[in-house]
Amino acid sequence: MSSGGEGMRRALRACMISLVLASLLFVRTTEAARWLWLGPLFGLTLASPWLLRLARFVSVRLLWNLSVLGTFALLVRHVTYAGVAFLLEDGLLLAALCQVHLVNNLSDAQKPDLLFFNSFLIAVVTSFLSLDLGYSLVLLVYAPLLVVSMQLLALSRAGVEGTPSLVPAIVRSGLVRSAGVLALTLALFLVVPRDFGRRGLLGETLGLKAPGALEVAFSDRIDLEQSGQVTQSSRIVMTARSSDGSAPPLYWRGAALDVFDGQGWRAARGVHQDAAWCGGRGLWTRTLPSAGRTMDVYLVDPDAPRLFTPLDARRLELRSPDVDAAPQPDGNFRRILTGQRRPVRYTVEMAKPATPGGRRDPAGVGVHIALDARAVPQEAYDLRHELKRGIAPGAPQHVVAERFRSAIAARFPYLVPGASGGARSLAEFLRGGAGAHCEYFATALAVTLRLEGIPCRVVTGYRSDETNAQDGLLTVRAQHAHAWVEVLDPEAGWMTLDATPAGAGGAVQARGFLDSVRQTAERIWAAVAGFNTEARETLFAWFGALPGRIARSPGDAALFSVALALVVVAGRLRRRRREEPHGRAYRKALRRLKLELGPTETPRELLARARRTAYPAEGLRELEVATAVHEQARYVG
Amino acid sequence: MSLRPTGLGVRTALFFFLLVAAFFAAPYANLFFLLLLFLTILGAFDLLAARANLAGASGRVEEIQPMPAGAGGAGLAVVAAGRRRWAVAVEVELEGALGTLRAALGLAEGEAKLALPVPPLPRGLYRVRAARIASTWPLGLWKARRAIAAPAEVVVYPAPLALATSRGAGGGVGELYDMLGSAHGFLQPSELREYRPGDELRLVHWKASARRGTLVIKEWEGGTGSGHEVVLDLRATGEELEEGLSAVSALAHAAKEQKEVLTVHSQGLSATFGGSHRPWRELFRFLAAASPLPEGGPPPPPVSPAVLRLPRRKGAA
Repeated sequence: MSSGGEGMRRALRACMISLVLASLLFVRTTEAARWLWLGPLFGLTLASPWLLRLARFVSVRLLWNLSVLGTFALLVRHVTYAGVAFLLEDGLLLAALCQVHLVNNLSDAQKPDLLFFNSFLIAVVTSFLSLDLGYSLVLLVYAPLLVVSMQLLALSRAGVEGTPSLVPAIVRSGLVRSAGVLALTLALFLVVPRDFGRRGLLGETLGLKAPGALEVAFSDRIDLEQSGQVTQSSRIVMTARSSDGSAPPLYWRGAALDVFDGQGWRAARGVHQDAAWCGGRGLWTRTLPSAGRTMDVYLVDPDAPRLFTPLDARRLELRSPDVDAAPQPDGNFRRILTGQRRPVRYTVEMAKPATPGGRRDPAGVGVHIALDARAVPQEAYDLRHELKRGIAPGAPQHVVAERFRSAIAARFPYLVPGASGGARSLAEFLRGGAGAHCEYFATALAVTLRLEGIPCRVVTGYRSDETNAQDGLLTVRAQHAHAWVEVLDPEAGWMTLDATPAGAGGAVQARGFLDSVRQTAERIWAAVAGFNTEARETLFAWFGALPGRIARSPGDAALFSVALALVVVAGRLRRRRREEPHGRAYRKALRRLKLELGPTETPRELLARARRTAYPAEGLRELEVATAVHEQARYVG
Repeated sequence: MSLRPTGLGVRTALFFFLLVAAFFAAPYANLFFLLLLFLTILGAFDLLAARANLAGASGRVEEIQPMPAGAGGAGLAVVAAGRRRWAVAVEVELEGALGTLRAALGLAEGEAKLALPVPPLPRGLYRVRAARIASTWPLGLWKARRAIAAPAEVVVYPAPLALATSRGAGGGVGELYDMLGSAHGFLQPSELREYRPGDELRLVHWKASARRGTLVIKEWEGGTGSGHEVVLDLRATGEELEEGLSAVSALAHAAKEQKEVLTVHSQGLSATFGGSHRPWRELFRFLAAASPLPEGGPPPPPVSPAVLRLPRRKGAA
C-alpha cells in the first residue's frame, strides 16, 4: 500500500476488521464451529489494533505463530478422528483463523487482497451450509463492507491523501454503489435462465447434493432433527376430482412409518394390518365394501415416488400407459419409476368408511405398538401420564386416542417447517415453549399412544382442503405435505387421527411487529434460497399479466401511476442534487432570457451574444453574474 | 482512453474463474449463483464506472524545470476534470528512470493543479515516454488511462559543487568563483564589429563609432567581455568530467543567482548564457547530456589561456 493518509489507513483497517468479523459471523451461522472456537477469534480480531503494536516483539510473533500452528494441528487431528465428513467444517474454521491471522500480521501490501478473497470464499462455502435468515443478514452487511473496503483500497493505492471529508464521502458512495449492485444482482438472479436441477461434475461423480433450501414435500421417512432452510412451494403435485361432485378426501397417503428410533420414523418390513391389494397390470382391488364413488387422480409431479391414495381406497386403476406401480404391505402404492418422467392418471374407488369402536386388543399388532424405551424421552412418559388424567379407566380406545389428539393439538404451538425458534428434538418439543411442525405433533401423538398401548403408526402424504367450489377439483401442492397418525381400531381397522392444530400449514400468526418483520424476512429469504424453475415461471407470469391487470383495475392503475411519478421525481431530484448550485443558477438565468448555449458556444460567448441583443437589463445582469460565478467555480476554483 | 486490469483485477479475475469452475463442478445452488452474480456485476460495474470517471477529463504536465542530480524536484500538473471525479492521478513515465512519477487527487473538480514529485535521479536526460491521467476508481480492479500533453524530457544536470562538496568531493564554489575573477581582467580586445541588437551599451567603442558614423562594438578575445567565462574540456576521465560538470553547474547557479552571465566553451558548445543571451536551460541540458571524450578527441574552442579550464587535472596547482 502506498502512502495514503492516516485517516484513509485507519478507515481501511476498520473495514478489514469488520470484514473479518463478518467472516466469523458467516462461519457462526453454519453452526460448524462452537463459541469455544469462535469466541477467541472474535476477541483477537477486535483486539488487532492493539495486538499489532506488540507484533514488533520477536517473542510475541513467535508465540503467535506457534499458536496458529498449534490450532492448525488441532484441526487436522480433529479431521483424522472425526472423519472426512468434518473436512468442510474444519476447513471453514481454518479459513476463519487465516482471516484473524491476516488482520493481525501480514504487511499492508498483502493484507487487503487476501482478506477480500478469503472472506468471499468463506461467504461461498458457508452458503452451502447455512440457509438461515442470519446468513442473509450477514450477507447484507458484508456486501457494502466489501465495496467500501475496495474503494478505500483503490484510493489508498493511488496515493491519495485522506482528508477528513474524503473518507465519509467514500463510505457514502460505497453504500450507494453496493445497494445498486445488490439490486441489480437480485434482478438478474430472478431473470437469468439456468438449470436449477444441474448436478454438476461433483454431484454426478461423488453424489453431492445441492445445498439449496429443503422444499416442504412428501418424504417416506421422518427425520425430526433435520435443520436448515425450508421453503414452502406452491408447486402442484396432483389434482383429484370426485365422480359424484362431492369434495375429495383431505388426506392422501404415501407411506406408513412404524419404527421410531428417537430421532425419526421409518417404515417397517413385515405384516401390516391392512387389507391386502390383489390384482396387477394396472388394476388392484381389495375386499372392502364400496362407497360407490370414484376419484379421478392426476399425479402431475413426474418424480412422485408414490401413487397417493386415501385410506379408504378399495380399487385403483392406472389410466396412463407405460406406467406401473407396486402395492405395499402398508396399503400404499410405490410407483415404479422408469426412464420416462411423466405425469400419471389413475382412478381410485372409495370404500365405505368404518365406524370406530370396540375394546383394545393388543394381540397381533406387533410393530404398531413397539417402542424402544431408549428412544423415548422422559418428557413423553410425563406427557402420557398427564394426558391420562380425567380419562375414565376402561374407556374405549378411540375415545382415549381422541382425547390424546385434542390435548396435544391444544397444548403445543405450531411453527412452519424451518421456522427459527422451532424445536430441534422431540424432548425439546414436549417440554413446551418451542413450537414445531406436523411431524412433531404426529410423533408426540404416536409415541404417547403407543406408551398407552394403543397400536398406531405415522403416515406421510398430503393434506389439502384446496377444493374448487365450482367444479369440486382438489388441488394438492408441495406445501400440503403432511404427517399424521393412523390408529388401529379393533373393529374398524385403521383410522386417521391428526394432532396438528387446525389451520396449521397456513401462515403462522405473528406475535408483535418484530415477529411479523422476522417472518416476512424469512419468507423473502426462503424464496431466494429456494428459487426454482417454477418460481421463476410464476414471476414471469405475474409480470406478463401486470399490464392487463393495470388496465383492468383502476386501483392498480392509480398505484402504478403514483409509483411511476415517484420514480420520475426521484430521478429529477437526483439530477438536481448532482448539479452544482452555480450550474443551476446559470441555467436559471438562461431560462429567464430564453437563451440556449450553442453546441460549441462558451458561456462567455453566449454572454456577448446576449449583450448584442436587447434583453432586459435585470435579466442581463443576472446572466452576467451567473456566468462569472459559473466560470469561477468551473475553471478557477 | 484505454482500460486495463490492475494487479488486483488480474488476481480477482483468476479467483473469479476458479469460483466459476467450482460453481459448474458442484450441484446448482442458488446462493452460490447469487454470490457469483454479485462478483460478476461488481467487476462489470467497476469497468463501466472506471471509464465514466475519466470520460471527458484531460490534463497536462507543465514544463518540468531542470533539477540537480540527486536532489529531486517537482513538476506541475493540471487536471481539467470539469465535473466531479474521484481519485484522478497524473502519471509520467520516464525512459530509463525507475518507476513512474505520479501524483493523485482524491476528488477533482474544475481545473485542479497538483505538484508532481520527481525523485532524486542521477545526471542525465530523461525522455518522457508517456504522460497520462489515470484512475482506478471505484474498486481498483480496472485502470482507465488517458494520454495528456507533457514536456519531452526531464533535465537532470550535475549536482552543483556545493552539493558535491557536501558529499565529500574536493573543491568549492567560492574558490572557483574567485579563480574566475572578472573576465575583463583577462580578456584582450580582438576586433571591432557592427552593433547588433542586444549588445550592451558599455561594449560600444565610442571613438570608432564616431569615426565610422555607426555604432561599433569592441569584441574581446574569448568572449564578450561581460560576466564570466569557462572552458569545459570533455577529454577527461569519467570522474574528472563529473567533477568538472559539477563545477560548471555550480558556476552557472552562482551566475544565475547574481543575474550575471556565463560563457561556456566546450566541444560542440561556445555560448553565453543568462541575461538576454541563451537560456540557462540549454546549458543545464548540455551539462546533463555531456559524456567524456577520449584523450585524442577534438579540443574545445581556443580561448585566452587565462580563462578558467575545467576539469582541473589531478595534480595541477
